[in-house]
Amino acid sequence: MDEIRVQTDDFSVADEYEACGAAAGLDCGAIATFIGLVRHADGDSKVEGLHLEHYPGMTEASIKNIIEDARNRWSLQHVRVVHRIGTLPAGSQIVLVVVASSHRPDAFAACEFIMDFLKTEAVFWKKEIRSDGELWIRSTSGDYERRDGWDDGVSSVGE
Amino acid sequence: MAINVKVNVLFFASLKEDLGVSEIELDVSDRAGRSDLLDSLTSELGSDCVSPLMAENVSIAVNRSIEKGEFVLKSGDEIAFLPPITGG
Repeated sequence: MDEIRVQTDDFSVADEYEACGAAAGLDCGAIATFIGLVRHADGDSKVEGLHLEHYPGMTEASIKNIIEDARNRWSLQHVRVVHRIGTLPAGSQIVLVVVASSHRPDAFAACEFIMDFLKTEAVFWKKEIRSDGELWIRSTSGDYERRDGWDDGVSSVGE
Repeated sequence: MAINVKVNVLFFASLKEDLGVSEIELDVSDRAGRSDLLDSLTSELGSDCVSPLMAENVSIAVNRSIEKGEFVLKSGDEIAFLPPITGG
């Protein structure tokens, strides 16, 4: 059973890594992790923090869809996605992706795939709190290029 | 005479800020569609809501499922207006 959590609280990478190892099978040979952080600057603008919102139920379903698509592509033993919401100061942890597999190629690829699709398909909204104002941010053209680089992509929630 | 039903409408992120409201209960005619919904919202929130809600990059979800085409509403449905999403 994979783990999907959306929470205001911070997460412990060590705890999630340990839980992943416990949930993965005996032939688990690779665990890839990714941690996303709130940048201190975006271009020339100083970023003081990030405000994140979600749509309870739909957000978790969108993450589940992304993980299912990753599971259809690679052999994965366990996946954990923890995504924070609320107001997070610069430097905070935002998101954690942990993927366990028998071998490293599948773990690396699936971890990257899940992050690329979280950027464009997961139901979250992010507002940068800058020293010169606030700005709702969107997926960048680079985010879409990375998503589209994975051949065919996943279906959006409800489609 | 048309029967009215109650639906719940949610607004997120920039839309919530633009409209100054996050959630409203709305009376719509039973089996109301996309344009009926917009008419009811205009009556409730004023004509200024039309432009942000109908923006090309705003998606509508009915009961947490994105609806790109026409839809038919029933009592208790939850409609959400979603500005562009981004996670990670």
